[in-house]
Amino acid sequence: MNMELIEKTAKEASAFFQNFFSYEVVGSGFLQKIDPRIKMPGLIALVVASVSTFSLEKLILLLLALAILFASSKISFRTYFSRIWMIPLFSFVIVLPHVFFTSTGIEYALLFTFRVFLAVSFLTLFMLTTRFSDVLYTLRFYKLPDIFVTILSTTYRYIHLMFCELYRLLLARESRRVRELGSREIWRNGGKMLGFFFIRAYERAERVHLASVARGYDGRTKVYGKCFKLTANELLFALLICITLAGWFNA
Amino acid sequence: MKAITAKDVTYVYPDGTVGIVDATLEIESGEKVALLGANGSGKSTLLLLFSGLVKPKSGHIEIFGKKVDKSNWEFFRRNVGVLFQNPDDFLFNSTVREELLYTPAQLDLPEEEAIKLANEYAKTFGIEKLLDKPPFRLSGGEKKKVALACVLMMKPKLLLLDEPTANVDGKTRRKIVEIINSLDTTLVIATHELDLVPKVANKVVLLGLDRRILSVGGLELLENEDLLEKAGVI
Repeated sequence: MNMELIEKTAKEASAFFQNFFSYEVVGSGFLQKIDPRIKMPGLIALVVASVSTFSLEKLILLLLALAILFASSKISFRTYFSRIWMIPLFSFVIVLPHVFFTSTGIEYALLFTFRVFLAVSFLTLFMLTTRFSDVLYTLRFYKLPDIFVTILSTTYRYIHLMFCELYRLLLARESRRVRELGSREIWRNGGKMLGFFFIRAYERAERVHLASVARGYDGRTKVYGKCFKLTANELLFALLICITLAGWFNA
Repeated sequence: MKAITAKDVTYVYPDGTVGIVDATLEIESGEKVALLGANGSGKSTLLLLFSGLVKPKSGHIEIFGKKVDKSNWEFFRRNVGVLFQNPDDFLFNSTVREELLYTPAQLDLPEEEAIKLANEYAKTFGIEKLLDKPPFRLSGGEKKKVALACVLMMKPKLLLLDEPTANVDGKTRRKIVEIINSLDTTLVIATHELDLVPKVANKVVLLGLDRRILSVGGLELLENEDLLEKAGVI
């Protein structure tokens, strides 16, 4: 097995997830303007619809809705695609054995991947068009348990740091390697690095926690109540969701 | 009025590392104090202790006459501003705007007032164009400016700055020094940059390599090469 490939994969993965979890709202299209209190349930309904069917007609209908929402949100295809390609591909690999064991295996594998693609796409659209503080505000608006919202906000805060730390460690390790290592040595060093990574991540988390306490954190992340307004945009969005769901039920 | 009173303060980190030993110090309200010392001399530890974020192992600290205590938590957070050495530890929200609004929201400041303050400080620090950017995509100097703006926004009575000009370019350094000089708050600044001290402080606390306070005095301490050498600063 090529050990360098494993290291390279770990580095690429940490770089990917570092950006994946710390997104920024891009563009200023239609979806970006929608009140998240309407947008969140609307897109979640489409996610549920995506994963609740194997009917090609229904999935094509959802794809149409996705295309409309994507086009109106003015997000570049590159940004969008870079965030979604990995998960459907991974799910296709997972479901691939079906192709060899059942007569309808290939159809099942493709439909399964299609469903995953749609669900991930709707979620990605939501993430790319909604600020994280708005997500927290919306979850609180819908009276989700405070502990859940706090865990979510804390996870968001630390996950980016964790991947940053891992990426830095891998880069440092690579920059100090002057000769090709044997497999055993690579595994041994990898184990040491993993331990070191956990210590560094823990210490970093402590410092971030201290900083957040210094800035007023008392165990609960507070956000200002947004002055969202229901406008024609929200009505249009709700109409699109209703039409899609009506079509989904009747298809 | 005394801003900081520390008596025989010792702090040991949970892993057993000694942070500071027997520190006794008084800082008057309005004083600008530089904590000068080599790396590992206990400057950051002292700032952490003064901020009320950690409690000393032994000794006694009072900030504006208030003990470091859970019951005084809100007083500390409203009146003591701390800037950490590494801005990456300090910035954890999804945009710069949210960073600026974080503390006001945590301390229940009215939203209108918070937004007004955030815009005012963004202008002062020249970071208006960065407001919708994620902090982790900023340069080192920009991160420092955002972090400092977050701290100053709350107009703390006591400002604790840990190496505020470390790893920034000349222009950003000048801007930070200019802003620090415009403040009329009590200031404690930890640094090992000798040339920065006369620009921002009128009192010097020199920390030794044994993590004890070596000397306290005016800017004339900077002329004492033997003492500075003993402290490992030069």
